[in-house]
Amino acid sequence: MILTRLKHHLAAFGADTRRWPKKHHRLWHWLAGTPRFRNERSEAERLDRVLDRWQGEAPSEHLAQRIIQQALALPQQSMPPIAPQPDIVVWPFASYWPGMATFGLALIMGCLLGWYGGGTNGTTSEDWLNTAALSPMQEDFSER
Amino acid sequence: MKSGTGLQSRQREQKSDAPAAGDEVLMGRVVQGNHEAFSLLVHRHTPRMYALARRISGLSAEAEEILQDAFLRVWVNAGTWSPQKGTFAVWLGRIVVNLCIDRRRGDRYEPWGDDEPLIEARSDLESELFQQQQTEQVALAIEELPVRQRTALALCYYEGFSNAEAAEILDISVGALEALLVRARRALRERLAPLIRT
Repeated sequence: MILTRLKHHLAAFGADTRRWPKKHHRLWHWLAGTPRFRNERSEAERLDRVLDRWQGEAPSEHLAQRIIQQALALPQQSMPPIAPQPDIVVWPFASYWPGMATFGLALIMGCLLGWYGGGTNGTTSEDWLNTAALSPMQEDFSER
Repeated sequence: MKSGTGLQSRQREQKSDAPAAGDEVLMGRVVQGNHEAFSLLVHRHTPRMYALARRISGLSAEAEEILQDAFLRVWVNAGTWSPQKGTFAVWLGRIVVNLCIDRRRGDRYEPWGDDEPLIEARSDLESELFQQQQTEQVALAIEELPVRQRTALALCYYEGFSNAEAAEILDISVGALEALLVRARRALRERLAPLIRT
């Protein structure tokens, strides 16, 4: 498996192991230097030497300056403000927020009603009236 | 004027840029409209990206236009960049490669001026011509490759991108990239057999 992979690397990236994948680089470098792969390596080296004859041209000296002048004359496209990424936790209870708010509001309303709503509540008033009406009769009962 | 192989130029680039601000930091400033940061990025990446465009497109005038277009897009659309999209070099490489491929799909570009490099008169003209011919043979063989194979070779072999970065630029898997490289080198070995034997 490893040997097949090594041959594949030689065929894909050439003989210079600096071009090879970085993973297990030292192992590949050591294996590529062993005599067992001499033929594959020398074949890859020959092709590398030929490919290296086509060296890259440097760009003209003024290219970078021309690019900068042209680009900076243009306005940058304004982008809408970036929405927070879903994986960034800004408020951990975001999904519970509507439910918690409703519960809180209901609790406050309940307390307010309980506190100030006594005078308007019919049941409480009737109880008070009944108590007041029955209080003289209570004395009669207690005499007996 | 030669710039050397991409692998070497990239290593030189990394050494000389070590204390300088990273691409991603500079790009963060470009997003805010910083001219100096943009200039630094252009100067830093022009040689490598020009070489990449030149190897894919085949013409220096076209490569210059592609590079201009790519950097204009970087400046104008800087707000669309985010570090989550990968490194700046990979992002820029993808823009350059896409522009090259788009142009190849359309009509063949016809340069306005004479694009052929002039051979300077030298005492060792014969040797120069011989080397020039060999270079042209290699360039021609690479130009005859299918565009994706040529791009994969330019990215990994000449410009020193890692296989993962090149795969990201081409928007393919690493395995598919390696298959492209194997096919490209196999085809080149056949086409350049006379040169390899000498």
